[in-house]
Amino acid sequence: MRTCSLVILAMLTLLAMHTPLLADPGEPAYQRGEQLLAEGDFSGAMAAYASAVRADRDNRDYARRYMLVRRVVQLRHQFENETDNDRLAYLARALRQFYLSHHLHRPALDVDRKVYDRLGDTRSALALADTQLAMGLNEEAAETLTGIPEDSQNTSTRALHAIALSRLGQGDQANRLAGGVNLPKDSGLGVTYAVARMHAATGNRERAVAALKQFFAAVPPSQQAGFRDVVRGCPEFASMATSPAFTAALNTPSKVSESKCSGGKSCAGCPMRGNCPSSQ
Amino acid sequence: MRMQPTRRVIQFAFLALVVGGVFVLGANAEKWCPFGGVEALYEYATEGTMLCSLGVSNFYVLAGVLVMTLLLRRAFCAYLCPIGAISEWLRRGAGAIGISQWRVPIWLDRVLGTGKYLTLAAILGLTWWHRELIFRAFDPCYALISRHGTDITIWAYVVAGAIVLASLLVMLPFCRWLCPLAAVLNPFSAAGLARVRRNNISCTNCGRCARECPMDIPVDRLPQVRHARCTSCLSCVDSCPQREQGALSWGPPSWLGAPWPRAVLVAVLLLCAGGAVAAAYLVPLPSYVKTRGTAPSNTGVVELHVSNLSCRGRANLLFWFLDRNDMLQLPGPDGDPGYFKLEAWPGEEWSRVRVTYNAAHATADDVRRAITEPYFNLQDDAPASRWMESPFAIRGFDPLALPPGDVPS
Repeated sequence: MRTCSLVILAMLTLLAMHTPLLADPGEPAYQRGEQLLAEGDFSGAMAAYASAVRADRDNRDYARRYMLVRRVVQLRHQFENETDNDRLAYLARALRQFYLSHHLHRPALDVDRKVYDRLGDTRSALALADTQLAMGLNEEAAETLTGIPEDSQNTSTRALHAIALSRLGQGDQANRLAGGVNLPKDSGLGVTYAVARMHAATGNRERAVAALKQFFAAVPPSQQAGFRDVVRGCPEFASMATSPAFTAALNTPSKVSESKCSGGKSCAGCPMRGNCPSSQ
Repeated sequence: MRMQPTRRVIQFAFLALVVGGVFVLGANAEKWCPFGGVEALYEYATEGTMLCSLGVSNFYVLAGVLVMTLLLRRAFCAYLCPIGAISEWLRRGAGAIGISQWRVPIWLDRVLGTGKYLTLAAILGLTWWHRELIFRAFDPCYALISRHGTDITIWAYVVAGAIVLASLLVMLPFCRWLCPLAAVLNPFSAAGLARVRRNNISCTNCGRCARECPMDIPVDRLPQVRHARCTSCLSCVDSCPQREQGALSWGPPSWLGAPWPRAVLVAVLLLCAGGAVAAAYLVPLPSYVKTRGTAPSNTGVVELHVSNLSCRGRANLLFWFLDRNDMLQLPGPDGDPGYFKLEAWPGEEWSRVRVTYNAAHATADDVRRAITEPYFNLQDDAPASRWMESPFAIRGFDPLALPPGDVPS
């Protein structure tokens, strides 16, 4: 009899855990927000996250998510009406980073196109071409990059151009372009990653791995996991995914020190101590 | 009145207060450590901020301990210090089960005693150089009061183990040879007012006082004990068989008057300790002060309670959010970044923050939004640019309560 009571109690507990009574009250609204965001419905997502916050005021994750999407909605509105080129560029980069981090390529393309049409500089062309490549619009990407004057080209533009040409089956031209690209040791993350992709696209696996190692050594520890996902999802590296050298490159230890706040071990060893800009 | 039972009660009560506060209430005991005040002196004097999760309360406690030391010599060590209490009880317990105490030769005691000055120099030099509590990882006291904090390494427990082992054989080895706070207190203790006085006439030179002294001071050969390492524990006086005849007494210099009753010692201890705690609550100076720009004539002030503001690093992050250069930047004249001053009292749960701003161009709501809204950290290197979600919430500030028209429908 007692055993039977215990079994019934256990079953009721299990059932209660999966009912709305004991479940997270804001979860359904939050999940709806995630779904709407994935579909590119920013206002709808914002409203859903707001509902999640109202349902669970103590949940900081819901509040932060709501505030981030609300910020994006504000920036989208400002972007549509912005007349100052510097502010437009800032808004574009902020929106683009958000869109791409959520795999929303179509809105990112719209932003990149608008900025390129307004500014027409190398940076905007590079951003547009990068998004076009991400969406498989290889011809458009090649056309965008060809439109950059020779004296405005840089390592990143040449690297992306080589990738585009390689995808379009113009291997010889791609290899010629790649041969003229050098990667200094102190190159930024964007340049290093573009060169790594270029070498992978043109079949030079050894140099691709070397560039990836250089890339991951320069990525702060707290961001390494995110960038590993990005690299694994990049089509240029698909053929190398099972190679031990590629895996080792992705696991290159970071040479960047971070504070405890930003995911590192301790404030004591952090070069940013006393002036820490990092988040949790 | 014998002092030892009273001293044990005070030791036990203070240790229980520390342990209870740390393990039951989850309090930050580090903020009440007097040595923390020593470590943070340079940073506070030069930058206006405390190190790590220390608070200005560390300075008040340090001041209280220094006053106590000027009056009572190193009484802090014998009555209030948790490590001193545990170390002493270990040795007495070892003695009770038959482990003999090793009396260190005087010359060796002197040589080993310099170790605390070297320890102090190393800790302060490296702490002030790195501008962080760099020895936290090795500090056995911090390992206890932080409930094994994330900074702790195995070496903290190695040091703790060494202190425990040494304490079984030698009386107060850490206090005599390694404690950096002892090195700080010694100069003050050398100038201390209270001392043990020996009456040469009623003293029978039995030597029990010297044998009982935990600091190995030759009490039986001195007219008065003015050694810096005297902790006013009064073990010598309590053990004196001629105590009632006044062979040993405790009090001020003879030219200042008669010996003091023991109650004076307890009263001074409690007044200094209690005064330090009271000062920390009555005069709560901010542990973190940082300013952007020059203060204008028209300023506004907003007082907030902010979550996730546990230490100096988080206060720096809060300053960074206020210092943002996006559309939520605190505005100033001609579109320039506006003046603000951040004063923070980092702590657990909700921490007090006071922000002074240019009231001609910004509002209190601008301050709240600058703190809580996400910020796109734009860098030249595109992959390094990212959205930073604020870890801070403001008590009573509803993220859903937007000004009208702030977000388009």
